[in-house]
Amino acid sequence: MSSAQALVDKDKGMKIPFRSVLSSRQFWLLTINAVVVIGLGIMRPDTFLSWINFKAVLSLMSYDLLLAIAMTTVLIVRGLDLSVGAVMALSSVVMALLLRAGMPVLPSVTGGLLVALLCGFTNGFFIVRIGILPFLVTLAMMTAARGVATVLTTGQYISFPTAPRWFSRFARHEFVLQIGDASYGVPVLLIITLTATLVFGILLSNWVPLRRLFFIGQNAEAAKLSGIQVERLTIAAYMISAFFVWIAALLMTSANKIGYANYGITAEMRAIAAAVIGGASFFGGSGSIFGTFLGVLLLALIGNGFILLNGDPNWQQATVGVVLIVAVGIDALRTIRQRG
Amino acid sequence: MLQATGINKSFFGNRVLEDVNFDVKAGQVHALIGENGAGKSTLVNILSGNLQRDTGKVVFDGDTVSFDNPLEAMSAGISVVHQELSIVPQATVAENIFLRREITNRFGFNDWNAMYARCQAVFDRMQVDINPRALAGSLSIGMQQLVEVAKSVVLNAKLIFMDEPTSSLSEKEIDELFQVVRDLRDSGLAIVFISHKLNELFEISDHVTVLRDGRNVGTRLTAEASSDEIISLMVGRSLSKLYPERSASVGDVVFSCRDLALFGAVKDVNFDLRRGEILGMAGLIGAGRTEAMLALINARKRASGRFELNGKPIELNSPHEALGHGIVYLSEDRKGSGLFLDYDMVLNVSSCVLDREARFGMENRKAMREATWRYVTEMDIRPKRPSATILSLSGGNQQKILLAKSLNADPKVLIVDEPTRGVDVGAKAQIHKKLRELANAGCSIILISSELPEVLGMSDRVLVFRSGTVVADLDNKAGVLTQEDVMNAAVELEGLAV
Ligand SMILES: Nc1ncnc2c1ncn2[C@@H]1O[C@H](COP(=O)(O)OP(=O)(O)OP(=O)(O)O)[C@@H](O)[C@H]1O
Ligand SMILES: [Mg+2]
Repeated sequence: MSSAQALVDKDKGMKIPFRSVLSSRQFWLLTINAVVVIGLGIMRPDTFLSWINFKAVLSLMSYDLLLAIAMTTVLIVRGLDLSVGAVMALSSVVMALLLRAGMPVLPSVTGGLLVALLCGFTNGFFIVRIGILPFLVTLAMMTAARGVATVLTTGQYISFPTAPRWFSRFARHEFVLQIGDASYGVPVLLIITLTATLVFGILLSNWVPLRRLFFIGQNAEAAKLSGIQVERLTIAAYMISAFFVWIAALLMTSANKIGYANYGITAEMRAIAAAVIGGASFFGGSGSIFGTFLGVLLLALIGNGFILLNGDPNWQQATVGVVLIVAVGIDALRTIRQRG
Repeated sequence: MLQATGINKSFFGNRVLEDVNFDVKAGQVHALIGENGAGKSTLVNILSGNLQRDTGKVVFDGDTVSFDNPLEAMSAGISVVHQELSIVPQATVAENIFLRREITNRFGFNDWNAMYARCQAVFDRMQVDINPRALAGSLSIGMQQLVEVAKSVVLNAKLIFMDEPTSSLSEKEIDELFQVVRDLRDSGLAIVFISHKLNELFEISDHVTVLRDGRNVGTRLTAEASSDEIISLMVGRSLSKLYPERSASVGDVVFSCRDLALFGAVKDVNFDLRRGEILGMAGLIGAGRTEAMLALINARKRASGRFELNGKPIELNSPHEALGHGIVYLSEDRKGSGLFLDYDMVLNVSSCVLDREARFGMENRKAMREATWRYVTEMDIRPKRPSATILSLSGGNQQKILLAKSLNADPKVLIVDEPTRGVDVGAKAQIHKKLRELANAGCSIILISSELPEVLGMSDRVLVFRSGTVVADLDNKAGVLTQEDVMNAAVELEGLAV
C-alpha cells in the first residue's frame, strides 16, 4: 500500500464536515432525548414506560416527522416551505372528496398526489424562476391552499363511507410483534413513516442528485458554475417536499377516516423547529434526516411530558416556540461567527 | 509605534505562529511576506483583535494592549483591510464605510448628508471615482477594495494593516492605491502591507519582514535587500523566475466563439482557440473579460453567441452544458462564486464531478478522497488533510483548491480567471507549470489575469480587451511580446475610436 493511500485511509476516520458537525450535534440530541426519556420514566414509570404510550408518541409524531423531512429538504437548498401543513390539508380534502364521489382508491390518492406536487412545483417555480423570496411564496401558498380546502369542504369533515373498507383501515392496522410473552402492535402508519424516513435519509446522504442540493444551499453561485443545475434541482426540492406532505396527508386521511381543511394548522412551525434543532440551517447547505428525526422526537417527548405530568397541553405550543427561537438564534450566531 | 514580541498561536494543536517579533514604526510602510500559510493573515488578525494570541506581548503607542475584538483595536487606531473583502453588497458604499460607526446628528439619528460628504471628501483625496450612494455590490472587486481602504482613512486610523490589497486590482488601481499609501505614510501613519508580488514591496515599503512556517526569519531595510535574498528567506532556496517553456506546436482550432454579446457589457467577441494553446486575455479590470467568459457558458444570460467545438456547432445554454462539453470556468472570486466554504477539500474538489465512478447513482467517496489526495500532494496544498474545511485554509491554499476543483473536471477547454490570485511566488510557478503541462497534454486554456507579466509569460497568443470587446489579437509564440506592445495596441485603437 502506498503511503498516499495510507494517509487517505488515516483521514477516513474524519467525516465529511457537515456530517461531522452534525454527528456531534446528533450525539447531543440523542443525549438530550435520552435524558428526557429517563426523566419522564422516573417521574411517571407506569404511564410513560408503556408500549401504549410509546406507540401513541411515535404515531402522533409520524405526521410531524414527514412534514419535518419536507422542511429539511427545502432548508438544505436555502429555502423555506410554510405551506406544508396547508398543502397536507388540501391534499387530504381532495382525496376524501374523490373517494366520497365514488372514485376507486388509486385514482383518488393519485389526485391528492398531483395536487400536492402542483403546489410544490408552483412554490419552486415562483421562487426560482420569478425570484420571489421563499418566505413570501410559501406564505401565499399556505393561505391559498388552506383557503381552497375550506371552500371545497365548506369547513366540514369529509367522510367517505362508500370507499373500500381497507382504505380507511390500513393506516391504523397493526402488525403484532411477539417478543417472549409480550406482544407489541406496530401500526402501518409507523412502518410506512419510518421506512420512508430511512430510505430518504440514506438517499440524501449518498445519492448524487440529492447530494447536489447541499451544494446549492451552501453557495448557489458556485454550484451553478460547477455545472449543477441549480434551478431545476431547487424546484425538485420543493416537489420532494410536497411528496412527503402527500404521504402525511394519505396516512392522516386513512387514520382519521376523514378529509379536513384544518389538518396541520401550525404544523409548519413544528417542522421548522424540528429541522433546525436537527441541524438544518436557514442559511442553507446543512441538515440531515437523522438529525431531523431526533428533533421531532424531542418535541414529541416534550409534548408527551406535558400531558403525562398533567400540565396544560397548550404549554406544548409555547415550548415549541421557545425551542424554535433558541435553535434559530444559535443557528444564526454560528453562521455569523463562521462566515464573518 | 507597534512592538509585538514573542507572539505564539496554535489552532487545535497546530503551531501557526512561533515566537514572532514584529516592530512597526510610524511614518513607514512595513511589508510582510511569506509563503501561503506562513501565518501572515493570522499575525494581522491577532494584532487587530480578530484573534486572540496564546502568548506574547503587544505594545501600541507606548501602552501594552490586548484587544478582545476588532472594534477595540479600531478605537485605539488600528484598522485592517482584509484579504477577503468584508463588504456588504446590499448596502451602499457609505453605509459600508460607516457601518457601526455612523455619524449622528444631535437627535441621535444617522446624518447621511454628513456621511456622504465625508465619503466624497475621502474619495476626492484618494482621487477615485466612486459614488458613495452606489450599492457596494454593484462595484467591481477592485473598486470594492478601494472602498475598504477608504474605510480605514475615514476612521483616522494610526496603523493600517493591508492584507493583499492589490491582489484584485488593475495596474492603474494599484498606482492609485500606492499614491494613497504614500500620502498616508507621509502624514505619519504606519502601514503594514502584505503582498505576494515582490515588485510591489520594493516599490512601496521601507522595511520588509519575512515569515516562514510561522517564524520571523528576518527583517530588512527594503533598500538594502534584493529579491533573491527575500525569496530564499521565504522558501529556503532560490527559485527560477522563468515561465515554463512554450510548447513547440499548437494544434488545430478546437473551439471557436462568434458574435458573443452580453447586454451592456460585452459585444462582438470573436476568437478561435487551438489545441494545446494558452490564450491570454489582457485588459484593464472592467474591460469585460470575466463578463465575456460568463456569457460564453451562459452563467450570465448572453444576448448572442455561436460556438463550435472540433468543427461542430454546439449549444452552450448553461454552465452544466458547458461542463458536459469539457468547458470549465474557474471563477475569479473564490469566496463568492468559487468554493463551498463550510465544506472540506474533498467535497470542493469533487463538486463538478460528484457522479464520477458513482454506483447506482451513489457517491463514490473513496474515489473522491483519492482524487483530492492526488491534488493535495501534487500541488502541495497545506494542511495535508483533505478533511480540513475551506474556511480554515490560508487564502493561497484556497486558491489552489479552486484550481484543483477545475482540473478534476477533466477540462478540454479550461478558462482560468485570475488563477494565481493570492498565491506565493513558489506556488505561482507551480501553477504556471501545471497549466503548461495541461496545455501540452492537449487541453486548450484561456487565461485571464490582471498581471500583464503573467499573461505575457504564459500565453501563446494575447487578446486585448477594452470596453467589452476585443481590440487586438497579438501573436506571442516567440514570447517576445512586451507590455508596451499590449498597451500600445489598446491605446492606438483608443485613439482611432475617438
Ligand atoms: N481558523 C483556523 N483554523 C485552523 N487553522 C487555521 C485557521 N486559520 C488559519 N489556519 C492555519 O494557519 C496557517 C496560517 O494561515 P494564514 O491565513 O495566516 O496564512 P497566510 O500567511 O496569510 O497565507 P496566504 O498567503 O495564503 O494568505 C495555515 O496553515 C492555516 O491553515
Ligand atoms: Mg493570508
